[in-house]
Amino acid sequence: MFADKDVRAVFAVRGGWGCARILPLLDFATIRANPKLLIGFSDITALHLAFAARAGFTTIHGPNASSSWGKFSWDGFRAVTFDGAMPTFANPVGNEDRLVQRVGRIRTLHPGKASGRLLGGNLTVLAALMGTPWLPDFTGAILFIEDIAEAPYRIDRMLTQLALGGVLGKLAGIVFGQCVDCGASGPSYGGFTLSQVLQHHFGALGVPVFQGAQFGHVANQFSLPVGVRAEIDADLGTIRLLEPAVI
Amino acid sequence: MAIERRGVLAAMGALLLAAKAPPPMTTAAAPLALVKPPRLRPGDTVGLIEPAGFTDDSFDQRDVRR
Repeated sequence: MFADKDVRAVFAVRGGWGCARILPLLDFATIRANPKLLIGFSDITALHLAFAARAGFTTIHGPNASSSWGKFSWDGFRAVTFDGAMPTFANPVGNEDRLVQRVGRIRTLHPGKASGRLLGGNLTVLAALMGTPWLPDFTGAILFIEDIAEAPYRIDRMLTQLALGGVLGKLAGIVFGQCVDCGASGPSYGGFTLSQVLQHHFGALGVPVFQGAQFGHVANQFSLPVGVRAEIDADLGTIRLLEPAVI
Repeated sequence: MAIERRGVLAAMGALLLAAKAPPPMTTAAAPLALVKPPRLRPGDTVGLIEPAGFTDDSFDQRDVRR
């Protein structure tokens, strides 16, 4: 598909599991010689990270082809992939009749701004690639991660793996997106909450970190170009691209 | 003095993070010079892949085509 000159971009229809199985089978010489946008998220993270490591061109962590393509998702995707724009991604502000925003609110774990290459995707997939040659170098990167249906103790285990593997200590900043159905249940009952786990791992790193950005297994999501330079503002909860993702 | 499990584990976590991180055990690839793919244009042909599952629901397939 990458060698086919008629194909301008490659969409994942959906996520799932097992994408990493095909990594050793991909012809990265051909892929690198034919840069074109790859779009998707969730298990497609295996491709995003492998492409960042082996293909060296931008891919888009955004809705899969069968995802919801509402105006919020579409506008961000179009700006990045059609217009070559450098948008500032921020969560949508709802019309809640409340003093404090609840839906789409962000939480600053460590204040400040940071810039670096955007690298990341699904935390489970990323953790599963640790120790393999399919991970890019995270030095100075902005790590963005999300997940679904993972109890806090599992999130803790994966983040501990990233810490012990030296990834967290290399980062310039971190954005934790949506973690759908990640509440305490089963073995986590009575243990740490997700917020506590994130605070434990990220709070002491001394780099800007915020939680709650609108990407992951949700209807409205950012289209984050993997590999491009961006600046995050952990106080405002924004991700601003510093260069276009396409030519 | 009472010792709470939460407090002990939290302190251990803080110590873990405060400790000098060892050299990474990963075999991370060195950064490649970033190449920018061409932008999309209306009417472009796009490829569809399913490397992480399959879709056999006809509604989903119609939806994707649209």
